Formats: sequence, structure tokens, C-alpha cells
Amino acid sequence: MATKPKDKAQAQEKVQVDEELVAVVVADSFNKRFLPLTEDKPRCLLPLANVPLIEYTLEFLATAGVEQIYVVCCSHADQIKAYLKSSRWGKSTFPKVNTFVSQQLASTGDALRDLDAKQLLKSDFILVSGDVVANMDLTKALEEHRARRVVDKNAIMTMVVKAASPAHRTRSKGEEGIYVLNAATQECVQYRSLFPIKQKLKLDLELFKAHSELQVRNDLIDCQIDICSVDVPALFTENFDYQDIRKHFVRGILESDILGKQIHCHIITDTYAARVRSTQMYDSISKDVMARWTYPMVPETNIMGTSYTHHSPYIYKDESVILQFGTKLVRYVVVGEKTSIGDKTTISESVIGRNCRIGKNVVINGSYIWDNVVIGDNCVIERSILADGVVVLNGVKIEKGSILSYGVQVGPEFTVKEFARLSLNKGRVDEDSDFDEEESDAESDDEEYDETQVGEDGKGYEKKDIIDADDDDDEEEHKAILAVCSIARDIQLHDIEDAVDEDTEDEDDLSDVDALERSHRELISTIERAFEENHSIDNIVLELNTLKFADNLDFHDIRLTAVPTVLSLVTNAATLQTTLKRWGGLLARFATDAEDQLDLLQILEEHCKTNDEHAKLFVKILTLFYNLDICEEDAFFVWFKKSSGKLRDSAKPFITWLQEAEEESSD
Amino acid sequence: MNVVVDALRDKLRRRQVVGPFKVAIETAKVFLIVVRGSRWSTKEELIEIVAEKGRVLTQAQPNELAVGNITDRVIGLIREEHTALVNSGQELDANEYRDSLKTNVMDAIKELMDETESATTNIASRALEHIHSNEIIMTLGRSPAVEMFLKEASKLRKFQVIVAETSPGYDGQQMALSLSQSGIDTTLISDGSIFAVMSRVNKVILGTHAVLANGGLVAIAGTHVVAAAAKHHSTPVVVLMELYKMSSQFPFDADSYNQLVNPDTVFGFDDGDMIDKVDIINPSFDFVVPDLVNLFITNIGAHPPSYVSRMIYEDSREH
Amino acid sequence: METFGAAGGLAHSKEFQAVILCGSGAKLFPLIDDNCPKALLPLANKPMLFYQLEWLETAMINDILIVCQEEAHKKINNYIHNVLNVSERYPNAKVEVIKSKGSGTSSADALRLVANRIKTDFIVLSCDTITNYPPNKLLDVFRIQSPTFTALFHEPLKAEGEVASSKSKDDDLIEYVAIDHSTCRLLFSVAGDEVDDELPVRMSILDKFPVVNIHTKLRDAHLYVFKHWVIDFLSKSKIQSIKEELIPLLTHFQYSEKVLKREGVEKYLKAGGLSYDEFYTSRHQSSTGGGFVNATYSQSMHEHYLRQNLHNPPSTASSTILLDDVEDDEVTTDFHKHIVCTALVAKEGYCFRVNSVPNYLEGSRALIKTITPEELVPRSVERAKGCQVGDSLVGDSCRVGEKTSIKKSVIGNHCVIGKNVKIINSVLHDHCVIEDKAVLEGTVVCANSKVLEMCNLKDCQVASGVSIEKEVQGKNETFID
Repeated sequence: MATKPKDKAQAQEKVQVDEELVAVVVADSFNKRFLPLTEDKPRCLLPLANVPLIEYTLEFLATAGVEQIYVVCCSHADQIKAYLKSSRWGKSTFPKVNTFVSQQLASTGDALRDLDAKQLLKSDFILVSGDVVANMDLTKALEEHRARRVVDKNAIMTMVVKAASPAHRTRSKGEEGIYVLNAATQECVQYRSLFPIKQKLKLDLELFKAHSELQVRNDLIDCQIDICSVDVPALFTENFDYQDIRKHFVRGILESDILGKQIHCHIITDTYAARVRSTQMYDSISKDVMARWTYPMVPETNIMGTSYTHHSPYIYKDESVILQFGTKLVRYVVVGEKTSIGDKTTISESVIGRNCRIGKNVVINGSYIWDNVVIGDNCVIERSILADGVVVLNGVKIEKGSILSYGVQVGPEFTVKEFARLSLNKGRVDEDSDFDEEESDAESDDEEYDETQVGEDGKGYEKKDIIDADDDDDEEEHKAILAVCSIARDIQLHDIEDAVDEDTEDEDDLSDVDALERSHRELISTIERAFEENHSIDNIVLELNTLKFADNLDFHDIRLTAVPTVLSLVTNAATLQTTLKRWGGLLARFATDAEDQLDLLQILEEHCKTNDEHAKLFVKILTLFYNLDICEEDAFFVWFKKSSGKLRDSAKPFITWLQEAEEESSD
Repeated sequence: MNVVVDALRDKLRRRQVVGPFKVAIETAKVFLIVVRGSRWSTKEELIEIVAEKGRVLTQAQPNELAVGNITDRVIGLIREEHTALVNSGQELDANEYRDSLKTNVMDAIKELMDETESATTNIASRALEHIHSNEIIMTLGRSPAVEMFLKEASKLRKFQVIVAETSPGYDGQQMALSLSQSGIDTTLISDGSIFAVMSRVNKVILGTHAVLANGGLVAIAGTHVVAAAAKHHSTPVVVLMELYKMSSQFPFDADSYNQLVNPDTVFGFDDGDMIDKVDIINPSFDFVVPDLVNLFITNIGAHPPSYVSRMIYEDSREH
Repeated sequence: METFGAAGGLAHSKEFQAVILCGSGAKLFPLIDDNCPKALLPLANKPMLFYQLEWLETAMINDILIVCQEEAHKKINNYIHNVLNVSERYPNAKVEVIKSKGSGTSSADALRLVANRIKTDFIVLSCDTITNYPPNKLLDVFRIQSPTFTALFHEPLKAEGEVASSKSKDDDLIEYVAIDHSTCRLLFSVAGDEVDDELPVRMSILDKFPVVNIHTKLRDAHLYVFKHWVIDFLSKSKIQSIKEELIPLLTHFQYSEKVLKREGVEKYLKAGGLSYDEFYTSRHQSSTGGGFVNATYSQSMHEHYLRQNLHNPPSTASSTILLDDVEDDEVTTDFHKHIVCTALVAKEGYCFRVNSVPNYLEGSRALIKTITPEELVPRSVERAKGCQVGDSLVGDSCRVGEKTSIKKSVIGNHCVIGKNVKIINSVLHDHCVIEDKAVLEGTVVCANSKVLEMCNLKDCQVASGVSIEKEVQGKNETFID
């Protein structure tokens, strides 16, 4: 009796062997958006609503009926392997989860090349990254894909995208793409990343010859779920410079005619799919999970064997949670097992992990607190991420956008400044590399933590270099993206863009205007707007940087614009002082080394030559530049040497004074 | 055996098996395999095993009350068969006892599956007792029992059916289509006009997802509106209930039997501004208090709501 | 529509005025001449003007102005009042025929001519626009969104057979039309010759309208509904063509505040007497794109301002004061404030323009399909034995000879067709005579013409009153006196 169904199953297997549904999960993000959290743990094991991200991905694939899952790991491969082995997937035969470790991978492209070399993929497969959260029905997309493949072997890939709106919270800021589709067939004929920002999307008229109606869509969420044919890894092998699947592969295929391959989109409207690309997305997707868009993947489904129950409005708590009478869970709250929360504590739009102890009178809003975190009394935590084992002593205020990595301790009576990233590891550690963290552990008892960074009894270092210094070729771009896609960064690329647009909208009428001049006008308007709305220097710098990438400018161009614009606020000696005090920092940010500062001074000189009013104030401006540390002495000396003319001469007393001052101090 | 249980658990959790009928059949199938395949020697051990598996499945999807109902029934059957075996007067050694109990219980479970499968037809066979010529009947959603009930009645009687469209799933629209295709005079109305139309209705016939121990319904969202409107107009409300929907749980907290599903059908995810600012909820069910129901029709007869608790009581007393 | 009309007929009578512009129709030569102006060119045996009047009647528009050239005025006036007998046929309607001076008058000039008569929002249509697209759909978009204008686009008729293929695509220049179908917004339309290799799409548009469909197959139906202020604006400007200048300019206004200022549109908007309510509706619809959600939102905004009004008792000029107030706090979001352009694509019914001979033939065929079989061949037609008439419209009192076959054609009234004649894909006007064994394919024969025995004409046009000699073989030819 027992043999019969088995025979049947085998027979079925034989029939279906060609169509075995295979998925490739790339369990590495290949970027640093989650640093310092990803120093110790791979991104796919980070908890989202107290469930590791990869669980969502695997559950999604299992629901879709995938039979074989290949998990490709790179950094922290041992952790992923160990996790999968111990979890329910380790024993699972349907789907069967296989892991591959390859330390040398630097991109999705590498991963696919690796798989191609191994010759594992013999049929169409689903390519997802290990941080996708979805409840969509893949069968429809698969059917469409297969139907197209039958007709035309060149339809090599189907990208799954979700309809949203341009400024949707679940669109990854800085990575939005514009899809140009054939309205009838959903064939993607052009893909362009919204970033760097351009004024216009240019559609090749050739496109219209093949497609009579094109649909331009700027409202899609890239779910990073691709249904690929076997040709895709082969194409990656052929084109060894393809790294990113969107930026390189899709554009490469669409823009080169030689290949003649087609990529289609499958637009989902009624189900959910999104990828945790950044901390901003982590925030949005957590909210989506709590608001039940991912149903049935919601906390009370308890896929991890927990015992969450759901209470209105959107409060999920485990049975073992201990609350005090005065504890207030407002809405959109998940509280994990055995966590206790003190009296008069208010929590809203947040996720609290397992075994946390939260004191009295604490206010937690929009934050993600992972396991074993201890929070003292009277703390305020605003839109931040607190990783496992963080200790927050009494009276600490954590401002928005902060990330406190594993084991960091802050306080007491201390304020963590907004967008701070604290970690126990002192040195910068690449997510990709297998860095040995033992030494930093050894240090942890030493009293060498900076009190201004973590407070009196704090443990941890502020990481400032996450955004800076990397030899990646398009790191410049990453920086700006990183800046906007962080948690709680409410600034949007669109904001910047809108402002730009208003001033250049009559472009059609002045279409011959030199591109350079146009970008200068954009710069000016951005700065002027900042003056009006009294932005912080940081924000202007960010906006200007964005423009800089968009229009391919260099820092010289920015300085060239910034100097006159800032000085335009100056009308007399009195306003000079206040203006430079407030906005001088802007100039300083764009003149960091001696060469830049020299350039700045030369620009200033040129400007003052044309503006009599400012020419009179020239020396005063120089003095203020010195006093406000916009330029250093050496820059003045070099400039003085190189320059000539009236203005130079007028600056002579100042330079002499400077030289004397220096000599004095060196004495 | 565990594979089978796990497979069903995953399916329940992933919402791949939904609806009381499917759930009941699948659960019964699993128990058939559990009884056959697990190691046990006494009835207590078997009951313990069945109860344990039942717990696993119930936890996977607490809203599918049919899992628990079938578990209870199977446990009841084991006790019944045990008693029958003991009272039969046969002298059995442990092995013989085990084998015959196993066979008997499995037969009983198969019977239970048969009963489950024929429940809807059984209910429909009573249609003529309840639907009379020229009546106007209101229903909502698409309950297979109601559909079959009405179609059965339409073979001999002429009557009119008003179906509420039942947003956001719009099952009512499907229902209306299906009824009109089999020749019933059908009118589709929007949910908003239920109250206004109720004054013309002679009888409300509803299906349900589950019936709780006090006779309260867990039924598709919108049922409460219909039942309350019917009460206001003193229109009788008849609920069709297959026995596997009868749960021994008592509703201390009505909300806990509800489930909020993906709000997409209520309001699209694509409007980012809205979903950021507005909470959108999409409950699957309404809890309807027993006072609003006049009559239950089950596959064994017609009963007033107050009788439900008695049926459950008798069910449990037997064992 | 009928129930709606019964209730709303009177109330809506003053909502819109209509202007029918009757052009010269140079491309339709030799089908039209002094006796038969373009507006009266028979299409499926009815003058083209008939279709516009019929459409306006279904739209419940009663105030109709027909602007035509001086030469055609008499003919058209005669048709309207004596042949069609408007006062009886449409008792509610007031139809007036106005002559424009000079022969080269442009469409904008024609509108300027009647500018002082236009008192409400108005519909402009060309006399060669033939459609039965439900007018309420078009007007409802206008009523709900309250846009500056609503235009109707159509897909070109599907080419049929060889006749159609002869119509080269070159004369129909490609036009890139960008529409957001969810809000019916017309975002831009660019003629093919205005762009070189690339079509630029502003990112700001994509931000506000994330799903934009860019069509290349759509044609403008030359049927527009305008806000009243547009006529004021037009009468002060030097614009010549509605299609080529006015429409692109208005669409451009949507996102170009500067051009808007340069053209001084602001004063027309205000002078146009945008009422308080209208202003709010339009503003909100425009900034958020319309739809139910926004409609309720605008309602609450409305109330908000009403409440403000309570605090500051409204003066006589309250609406203008409010206007200024609003502008102050809306400075940052005034992307498209007053100017909203909408467009619809006629997907149901038929919609086409009779602006060339091939289009005329295709249009005739399209109309045949809409006529019931009983009406296609009236009883008064004498049909000899063995003649076949398929998919064709035959006029009153025609005679069709033995073994003659007529397919996909229109035969005018009082025509005489001999034996063994083949007529395929052709149009015959009234009083034509086709003699035995003639073959006509894709040919138009105008009124009172004769085609003698054994002629074989393919894709030809025969002007009125011409007689074609025996056994003439013609291909792509035009026969005139």
C-alpha cells in the first residue's frame, strides 16, 4: 500500500523533471547600506518584524511551489549555512534548500557566472535576493513568461514589478527606475534609473517604429524577482563586465541591438512584493508587514513557532510579553517573546524583539529594537534601529535615523545625535570580507570610548567613515544614494528635482541655452531656495551633490556658483558678517583641501572684480574666510603669490598680518 | 506521517487550503494517515497523538475552526469505537485490540468524510420545506450550501432571490451569476442598499464560516449587516450549517475569531499618500450574535440557535 | 442617456454652445465643388453636416453655430433650413449659419468671427469629424475634471484591401500623444517633425503622472470642448490654427508657468469669471489628478475655506480675495494650477475624419456596418434577377441590372446600374448612371456622372457631371470636365 503512491510520485517526477521549478536566492547584498549592522550578520539574517529576512524569501518561494532553492552566499556564509541547517528548511525536501558558498563574489553578476560555470541551472529559474518580502502569486508571472518563451526564445527574462506611486514609501529612494514598456505586450524597451537625476527622459524615436504605443511608468517598485531563462547566466558569462542585474544587465540587453533579446515586465497590482534594499526600505516594509499588506505573512502567522496574536489596531504581541498597567502600545507595534515593558511607556510604529527589557516612561516611536535590548527609564527613541544586545541607560535620547549596532551601550543622560551610527568595532570592516572581530571584543572593556559619542558609561564608536572613502568606481553615486535611502531621511530626490524644474521649465523656449549654464542656474536656485527656507548646511550639500552627479559637474563648478550666490546676500559690511557666519560653512564644505581653497579664493577674486560693492569688502571677506576656517593660511599665501592686480594689493596688509601671526605662533 | 501533517500545516498557514469544507476534508485525510501510521497501543495514546496533531494544525491557522471541529470529532470517534469494542464482549489481546480499533476508527473517519462530503446535499434536500412559491429571499456571499439549497428549491418553486454583492470580494456577484444561470429570478444589489431592500424580503438565507458554541456565527463580512437589518424588519434569518462547521469554542472575545486579510481589495497599495495616512482594514468575517438568527438548518435537521449548545453538549456527553 | 436627457435637457441647454467649422476640404478634390461644399458631401447618402448635428443633438446641445465660407453659405443655409428642416427635426435647437469672409480663413479666424456670440463653455468640431462616440462620456470628463479643454482622439480606421494600402502613411505625419489614461490628462502632443531622434519627456511630468502612455497611432478627431475663457484668449491672440497652435500652447501651459505669464493667461482666467466652486474643483483636480478620493478631499477643502469665510465676512469681491489667499500658500505646488488638458480616445462606436479621398472611402464602409440590413437596401430599389448586393448601402429608387454585383459600396439615390456591373469598395453619389459590364473598384463617382459600358476604373475619382467614355481603363486617375 505504501509503495503505490511512491511509484506514482516517481512517475510524476519523471514527467515533470524538465519543468522542475528552481529558484536562486542571492543571499548577499553586495553593498554597505546596513553598515554597521551587517558587519556581524549578513543582511538576509537581519530580523524584520522579528523574523529573519530570508524566512520571508524562502516562505514566498515555497508558497509559489518552488522545488529546488539554491542559496548563494558570500559574506558571512557560515552563518547563513548554520542558520538554514538549524531552521525548518534544513530538513525540508519540498522545497529542497541547497547552499553554495563562494567567497570571491562581488556582485549578482559574479554569482550568476558562478552558477553558469557549475552548470546547475537547466531550465527557467527564479532569481531573487535573500531579502525579498512577497506574497505575490508567482504562477501567473511564470505562465506569462513560459507562454512568451514558447513563441519567442528571445524573451529571456521577466521582471516582477509592483505598481505604486512615485513617492510611495515602499519605493527605494534613490533607486527608483523608469520603465518604458510596450503598452500591449509589457515588453520593457527602456529602463533607466531615476538617479542620477536628469531633467528629461529621452525616448529614441526608433522605439516607436517597433511599438506603436509606449507606456512610460515611474510608479513601479522593483521587487527584484526575476524569472530568468538559462540564457541569462550565459549572457552574464559572455559579458564579464556586467555586475548589477538592473544597471548593467538590463540596460545592456535593451540598449545593444546585437543581442536581439527581450525583457518583459510583469506588473502586479493586487499582491505584495518588495525588497529590503536600504534602511529606508526596511522601515517601509516593516510597516507594510504590520499593516498586513503581506498577508498571510504577518506576525501572527507565527512561522517561527512563536505565539503572536493580533489586536486592533495593528498590535501584535507574543503571549509571553509582560506589560505594565500603564504601558501604552499605540498602533503598529510588534512585541516579541518574553519582553517586558515598564509603566507609562509609550510605543508606536515600532518592532520590539525578544527578551528585551524596557523601562518606565520610555517613548519609542518608529524604531526597530532587536533581541535582548535593555532600555532604561525615561528614554526617548525616535526612528532608529537598535541591534541585538544594545544597552540604553537611563535618560538617553536617541534622535532619528540612528543605528546602534550589536552590544553598543549608551548613556546615561545622553543624547545620540541624529543619523549617528554606533558600533563596537572601531575599524571599518567591509561587509564582504571575513574580518576577525575578536580584537575589537578584547578592547571593549578598555576605557577608550569617546564620551561625547556614547555618554559616560557608553561602549562603542561612532562610525563616520561608512559613507566616505571607498575605491569603488561609482562610489560617488553610492554616497548620495546612501544619504537619501537611510531610515528617517525624509528628504526626497523628488523634492530636489521639483525645485529644479520650476526654474527651468521654460526650457523649450530657450532650448539653445548652454547645458552648463542651465546647471548653474539650477545650482543657484537650489542655494537660494535653501536661503529662503533656511535649510541646514548638510541638506544643501546633499542637494548640491545630487545636482552635481546629475549634470556631471565638478566641485569647481559648484564653488563657481556658490560664491556669488552666497555673497549676493551681502550688501554691506554688517550683513557680511552674519551671512558668512550662517552660510560660510557651505563654501567650506566644497573646499576641503588646499588646492580647492586656492580655487575658492581665485573665484572670490574674480567675483569681486566684477562687483564693486564686494570689491570694497574684499579684505573683510578674506579675513572672515580665515576666521571662519573656510580657508587655511597656506591657501592665502599661495593665492597671494599667484595672483596679481588691485585686489591682490589691497589684501597685502591682511597677508602680512597673517604671516606675522604665523611666525608668532611658530615662535 | 509527520510529513503529511507538516504539509497540511504549511498549506493552512500559506492559505493554500481555505474554506471549512476543504479544511475539514484535508484534516480528516491527515487523521486517517495518522491513525494508520502512528505507534500506539492504548486509546489514550491514540487520543493524545490525534490531539497533538490537531493542536499543530489549529495553531497554523486558528481561524479555520473546522480543524478543531474535525479533531474533536475524531477523538469522539476513537472513544466511541473503543466503547463499542469493549462492550462487544470479544476477548482480545493487545495486538488484536489495537488492530481492530485501528480498522474501526479508520472506517469511522471515512464515514465522517462521507458525511462531510454529503452534508451540503443533505441540507439542500430540505430546501422545499423552507422556500415557498413567490417568496423573496435575500442572501450574500457565495456559500455553496445556499447556492445548492436555492437551486434545489428552484426545481419545483418559483421565487425571487436578492443577492448583496458582498464587497470587497464581490462573491455575491458570482453567486448572482450562478443563480441566474440556473434559471432563478435574481437581483444583485450593492451592500449599501441591504437595509432599504430588506422591507421587501420574506426570508434571509445565509451560509456561514463556522458556528460557535453559543450559536453565534463567524460568517463572511457583511453578514451582520444583513442579520441586523432582518431583525429590524422582523424578517426570519435562516442559516445553513454543515455539522463540521459547528465548533465547541465559546466566543469570549468576538474579535479573536476574525482575521484581517490583505487590505488590497479595499484600497489599492499604489496610492502611497493614502496608505501612509489612513489605516485600511479588511476583515474576512463578521461575528453575528445568536439573537439575530432564527433557525439553523443542518444536515441532520432544523434547529433553533439555542439548540446548538445542546447539540455540542450531547455530542460530548456521548463520549 | 435617454432618462438622463429627460430630466436634464432643459437644465443643460445653456451649458455648452457648439461651433461647427466648415473648411474648404482641398484634399477631397474633386469630390467637392461649388455645388457641393465639403460640409454637404454625401457620406453614406447623408451630408456630412448631418452627422455633426445628429451628434450634437444626442449631446443635448441646442445652441449651434455653423461657420462656413462665403461661397458655401447659401447652400448650407438652404440645407439646414429647407432640406433638413432643423426647426422641425430638432425643435429645441437654434442653428445659425455664419459666413466667413475671404477664402483663406483659418480655423482660429473662424472662431474669432463668432467670439462675441459665445457665452458659455463651447464645443468646437470640424465638419469632417464623423463620430457616434457617446457625447456624454466626453462631456462628463469635462464636467467632472473641469479642464481647460477636452479633446477627442481616435485610432485610424483599419485599412481594408488594396484601396487602403494605397494610402501612404507619409501624408499622415506621426504624432506623439501622451495621455495619462487614469485621469484622462493630455500631457503633450508632439508632431513627428518637431523631434529629431529622441522624444524628450519631462521628469516632472513623470512625477505627477507616473503612468503615461505615448501613442503614435492616435489621430486628433478635431472635436474639442473648451472652457469659455479660451475664446477670450483666442480673440486677443494671433493664433491661426486650433490644432497646430492653440492646442499645443494650452497643453504647454500645463507645466510652464513662465509661458503662462508671458501670454498673460492669468487675466483671462480671472475675467473668465471662474466661480468660487469651479475654481476649487479645478484646482484640486488639477493638482492631484482627479478621481473620487480627491473629489472628497476637495470637498473638505471647500468647507475649510467656507469656514474661513465665516470668520471674515465675505465682501462683494470675496472670490478674488480668496484667489489671492490661495496663491500665497500654494506657491510651492503650483505645477498645473489652472490649466488642465484632458483627452479621450474613442474606443467604442466609430470616429474618423473625412479629410482625404481614401479616408472618405473607408469612412463610408465604416458607416455601412452601422446600418441595419433592412435599411441598407430600401424597398424602392429595383433589383433585377441575379444581382448581388452585399455589405452595401443602396439609395432610394435605384435600379440594379442583371447579374450585377455590388460589394462594400454606397450607391446614391436614383442611380441606374446596368447589367454585369461590378462595384467593389466604391461610392456613387446621386443620379449616377453606370452602364453594362463596367467595373468600379475603389472609385468615387460624383453626382450626375455617367460611366459608360465596359469601363474599368480602379481607385479613380469622377467629378460630378462627367461622363466616362466606353471601355476606358483608369487607374489612380481623376476625371474632371
